[in-house]
Amino acid sequence: MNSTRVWIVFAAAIIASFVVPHFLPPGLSDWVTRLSTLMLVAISWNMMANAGLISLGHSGFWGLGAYSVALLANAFHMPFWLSLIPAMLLGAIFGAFLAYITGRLRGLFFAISTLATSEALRVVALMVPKLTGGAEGVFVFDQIRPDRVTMTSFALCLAVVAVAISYFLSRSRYQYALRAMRDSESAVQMLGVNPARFRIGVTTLSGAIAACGGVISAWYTGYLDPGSAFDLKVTISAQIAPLFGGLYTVTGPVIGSFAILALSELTRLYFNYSGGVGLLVYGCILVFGVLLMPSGLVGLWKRRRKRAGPVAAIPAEVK
Amino acid sequence: MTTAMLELDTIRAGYNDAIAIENISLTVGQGEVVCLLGANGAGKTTTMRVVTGLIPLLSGAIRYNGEDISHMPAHERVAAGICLSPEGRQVFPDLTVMENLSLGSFNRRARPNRKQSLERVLTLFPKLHERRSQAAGLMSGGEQQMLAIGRALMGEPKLLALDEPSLGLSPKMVSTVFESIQTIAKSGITILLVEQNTRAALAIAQRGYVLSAGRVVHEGTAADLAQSEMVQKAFVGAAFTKQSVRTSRRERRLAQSNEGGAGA
Repeated sequence: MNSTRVWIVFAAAIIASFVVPHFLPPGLSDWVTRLSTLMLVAISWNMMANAGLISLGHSGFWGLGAYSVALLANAFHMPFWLSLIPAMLLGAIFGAFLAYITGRLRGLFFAISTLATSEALRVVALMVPKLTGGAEGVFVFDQIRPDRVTMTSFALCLAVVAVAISYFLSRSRYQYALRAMRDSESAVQMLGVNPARFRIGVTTLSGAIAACGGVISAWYTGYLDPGSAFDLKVTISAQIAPLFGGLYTVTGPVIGSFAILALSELTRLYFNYSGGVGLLVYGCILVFGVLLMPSGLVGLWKRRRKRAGPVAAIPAEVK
Repeated sequence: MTTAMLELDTIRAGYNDAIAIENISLTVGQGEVVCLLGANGAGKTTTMRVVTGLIPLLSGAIRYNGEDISHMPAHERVAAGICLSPEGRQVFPDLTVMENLSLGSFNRRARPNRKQSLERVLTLFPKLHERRSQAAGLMSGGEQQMLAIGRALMGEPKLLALDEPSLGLSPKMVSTVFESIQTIAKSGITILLVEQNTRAALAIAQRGYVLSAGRVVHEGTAADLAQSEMVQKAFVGAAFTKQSVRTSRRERRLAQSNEGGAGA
């Protein structure tokens, strides 16, 4: 696809995200909002994974975004779209901080440190009740909360922007460097790339995007406490979606988010007489999905298409 | 000798508590091909890592074109013109040949001339042009070695550091690779070469240093070193005669089986 066409597609998607929510029934609109927030964290997680940074701390970004919204909105009656700026800033700063303190830690060690920092944030939120309301939680003023349609449009719009960012990043020359970093940071450094700069760059961007997810959730639910804001479930679904959809791809986290949310709804509806069974089936499908499709739904689709009609390898042009 | 481009002044380095090289001093002149010889564990690769900045220097100094670069980080040395083709190739297996190559010209100095560099590399290694959209991990050892050298060349080196380019290659592929190295040297690029294959290395180098147990034990012109018994000793140790016969027999056999084949 040439770049003008891509811009048109993204512009159309942005417009659609403002128009479509007006025609959605409440149930579906709620679903779309949740889908958008999941997409945001999934894209953000995938971005870091792409550079070899496996994060278990995405609930930290999420919680920071959510709390900054709740506190700033209550203190300054900040309109919801403006609250995005401090939240993203906070997420970005936390991302950079995470990359800075973990230094050269990789793999499991990096993952555990991110888990520890996000858990630390949760404990801090519990321990400073004057600021965060502690375990009782904090309510966002009802008067300043936007209505459902606005909220859905806002969420969809952010998700589209996140997809656009990850798409353009995947087209840029930084993409090779990031993918190569996943393989070996010292080998990348030998080629004149400063891995520290890239690491901080990618965690900053990823943190800002994940914080948006928290922003939406805070405005949407209107209430948060440390347990729900820094919920490990966020971290887990942020990685299941790309795994299920297709790791390290642009479309993977998008399709994966869609698939796992649809799946959880379907199992819930189908087995609604007992919640446990629904969750069990949902879990089993996820496990077998990941086992049987190592490159996710995207990989499955690509393989299908290859089998249907062998396309001649397109020679890469000299750039 | 021409003016020194790279000068190692009594350097000392190692890993954690283990000192791998001690008091190594050597110079590489502008336009020269200099080889470092020695057995396994002699400190050749460590020297190379110190030169490219991948491990820190414990004492001593490294000067590059008269400037002290002892504490310059690795990625800045690439920008200064020191590019490495590492031991064991270390190409990025998931990236295609083209992507690997374009990563080579990532530094600010080389980026504007990417197109010309690419043309030069693909002329030098036509095989890479054939394989340009293939994942690097799926190529033969020889092709990966070409890619590793090509990738280093994409960074427009003034000093090209080659760490064991013959490692794991068939004799036929070794000569192909060494011919390419000679072509690179003729184009005016200074080369620091680390090799275990003494014969091949001395055939293209002007000067050489022999390392043993982390020290320089011998140095001289390539012709002198080729004659020297000291080199043979430092290189294969006590079991020299037996082992060299065995290797050469294996080499001959490999060469025969590879004749007419694709090599590597």
